[in-house]
Amino acid sequence: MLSAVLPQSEVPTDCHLNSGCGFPAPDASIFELDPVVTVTLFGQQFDVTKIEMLLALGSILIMGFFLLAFRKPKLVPGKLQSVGEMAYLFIRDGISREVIGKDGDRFVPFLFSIFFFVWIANLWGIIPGAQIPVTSIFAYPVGLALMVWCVYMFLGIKHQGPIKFFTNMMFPPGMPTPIYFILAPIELISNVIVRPVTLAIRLFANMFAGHLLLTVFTVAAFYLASPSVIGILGSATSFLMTVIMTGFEALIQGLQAYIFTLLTAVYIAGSLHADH
Amino acid sequence: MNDTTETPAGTATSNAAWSVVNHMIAGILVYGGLGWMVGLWLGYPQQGLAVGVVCGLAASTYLVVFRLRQLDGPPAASADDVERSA
Repeated sequence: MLSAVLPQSEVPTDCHLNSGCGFPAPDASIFELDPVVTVTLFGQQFDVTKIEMLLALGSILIMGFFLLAFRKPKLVPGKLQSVGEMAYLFIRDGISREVIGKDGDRFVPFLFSIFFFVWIANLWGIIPGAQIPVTSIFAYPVGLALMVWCVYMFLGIKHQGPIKFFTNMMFPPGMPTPIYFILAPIELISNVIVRPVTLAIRLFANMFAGHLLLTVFTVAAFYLASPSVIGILGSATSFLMTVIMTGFEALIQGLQAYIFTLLTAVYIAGSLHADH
Repeated sequence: MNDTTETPAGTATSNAAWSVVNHMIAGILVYGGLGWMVGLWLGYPQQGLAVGVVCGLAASTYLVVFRLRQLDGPPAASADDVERSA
């Protein structure tokens, strides 16, 4: 929709420091990709871009990997099975048992799927050829956050009862009664509305900013490349920064996937037991 | 460390700590919005918004401190009570 209105910006490759044109600073239009395939379903036109293809490929890769790892589980695991078990134990012991406790074991598959889905979606940002994180498109974090919202609201209503869930949330015990009138709205808005919003924005903003940063340094490395002292030094520095920021992004991508999963577990824990 | 409970000790505290940002934002939203509406009614929307945001921040800070202090231990064993009884 937006890409039809805005012109697709192409970074000019012949634009250099001394060729008279200014720095072609990348803007938000680098996130609006040309459709690769256009599908018409039920009279509605769907543009399939690189983003959707990476998303599908990522899902297939994760499923393939874990199917292979756990296809024939042996008592003494092979290499692939060891990696798969390590990943499983990381989610079960590192997140689920740590945050929810023993009764969180039935949510491990959910947390496991979320972690690896978000991680591979983020990881596309630094994989050569792909080089755009799927989660830097706001719709994907929003979709994930909405799913998490549905899960913890449902669990809260199921485990604490439809009225109890909200009263437990709004009225933590041991507070002077007049204070309740002031703080209850904050608790309600915080838990029901702000939670999914911050969950989605935290993931999206990190990936968006990371991709923009990498693009700025990459474009600068090309733009500054010219036979002059400033050109050579600037280009080399920009290139070095691109390499350093790529390593930094690798860290951020794993960290954001971990935080997203951890917060999902925290919200589930809050729904299973009232916070007191 | 309390080994008898199913969840490790400190879990509740770290879970509550994760919601600090959410509480802060919610406080600003609720009381900023309320202040703005009251200000609109009285004819000073900007001043109302400013006062509301500050009040909301104060309220949510109180809420966060209250929640985290409560998780430290049961209120009967808090430092104030020990001092008072001594």
